[in-house]
Order: sequence, then structure tokens, then C-alpha cells
Amino acid sequence: MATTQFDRASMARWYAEQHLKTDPGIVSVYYLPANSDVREIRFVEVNRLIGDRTDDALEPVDFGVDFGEEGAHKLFVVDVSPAQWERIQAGNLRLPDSWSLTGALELP
Amino acid sequence: MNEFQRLWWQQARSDHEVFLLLRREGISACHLLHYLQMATEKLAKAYFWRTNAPPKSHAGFVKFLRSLGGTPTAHRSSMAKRFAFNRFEDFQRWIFAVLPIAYDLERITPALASDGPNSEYPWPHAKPANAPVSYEFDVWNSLAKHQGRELMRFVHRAVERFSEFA
Repeated sequence: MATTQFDRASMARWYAEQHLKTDPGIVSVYYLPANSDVREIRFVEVNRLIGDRTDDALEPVDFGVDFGEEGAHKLFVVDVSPAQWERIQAGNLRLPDSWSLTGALELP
Repeated sequence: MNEFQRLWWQQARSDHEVFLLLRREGISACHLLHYLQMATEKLAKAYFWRTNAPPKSHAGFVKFLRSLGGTPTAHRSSMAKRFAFNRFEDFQRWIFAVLPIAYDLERITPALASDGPNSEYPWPHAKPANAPVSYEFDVWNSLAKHQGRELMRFVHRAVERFSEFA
């Protein structure tokens, strides 16, 4: 069964490790499992190399991974600056619709 | 490659050809950067159209590199070889090293330049003091050095061989 081929928490940890290895701008990776599909991984990545924006529209980007295969899943990433992350935590900046910090976990 | 990807790739190739043409002619750095940025942005959009939901913003090239750096285990060896690396770990380390240049390249679009140096318009908006055509861009100096030249070679190869990893 395809559903047994995909361990979302392990996969999330693996992606977090890879992203931290690949991008010197990423300070931390937060995994947000609340409200997401069982085959969907949501990350907020705090990044010191992106500039602060005033329009603050947070856009999840679909990284286009492993679709059409047995372990098919999606990886969505929202990049935020450290200042934006502080505003999110303080409740002054909204995450995308249906995204939530409830149960958020810093990885790896 | 789907049809949406093909169209974005076609435009990316054309932008990249203009970049190469301008570089051969020794045109000002602002124009070279403008076309290189557009080529890389469109290359990234072509890649992310695989999901039918590409990023809307100008920032896409960094995400494209990061996505290649997170290539699934089964495809790592072929991905590394495609870009002339013997081992995927070396490719990943190289991405780590060149990403700051890629961030700088994204930031020369007026929308992301925070009213500072950009490749198209004099700045600052309220009281212009600099014109792109006479400005010495740090990112162009970075691109002229070893890592930067490698990044430009990578872009060339990625554009030419896009169909292999789209």
C-alpha cells in the first residue's frame, strides 16, 4: 500500500537537514503539521538572506518533489526573515490560510 | 516536461541568449544583470511549473537551486553528473557556496531592491542619485570571480539541459 511507503515526520526531518545543508541563509526550519494533508509537509524557514518586505504576503512554494510515485507527497515552504518570524510568533503577521503554529516543531 | 514548462523554458533560453549576446558585446553590467536575472527567474518558473503552482514573485532562482540540492536520494547521482560533479555531496556544497550570489542576483530586481541598487531604474525613487548604467554592482563583481563564473556556467548548462531534469 502506498500509504505505508511515506513516513511524513521522517521525511520532514530529512528535508530540513537537506535545506540547512544547502542554504547558508536558513537559520531555522519549523515543521507545521497542523491542518495539512497527510501527504503534505509544511515548513516555515527563517532566512537571514532575504530582505524584510512591507507587503508581507507570505507565499508557500510547492517544491515539486516526488509526485506521481508511490511515496508521492508535497513539500510547501514559506520563507520568512527573522523579523517576520518574530511578528508571526507575536500574532502580528498571518500565516497562509489554514497554516498554524499549533504543534509546530523545529527540525532537525 | 509539460506545456507550461516548455513555454517558460523557451523564454528562459531566449533571455539567456540575449545575456550571452550582450556579454560578448561588452554592454554595461546593469543590462547583463537584467537579462541574467530574467533568465534565471524564468528557468526557475519553468522548473516549478511541474507543480502547476510556480512562485508568483521574482524570487525563484534561489528556491530552484535549493530544490536541486534536495534531490531525492534515487536521483542524486544522475543530478550531480548532469552538472559535472562526481558526487552529489560536492554539488550540494557548491550550492551552499554560491547561494549568496544567487540571493544578490534576485535582489537586483526593482521589486526586491528596497529602493536601492537595481538593474533598471535610477534610485532612490524620491531623489535619484544613481543610475544603473553607471553603477558598479557588487553582484557583478562576484559573478566575475571563480564561484560566480561557475554559477554562470551552471545556468548555461541548466538552460541547455533543462529537459533532462524538468
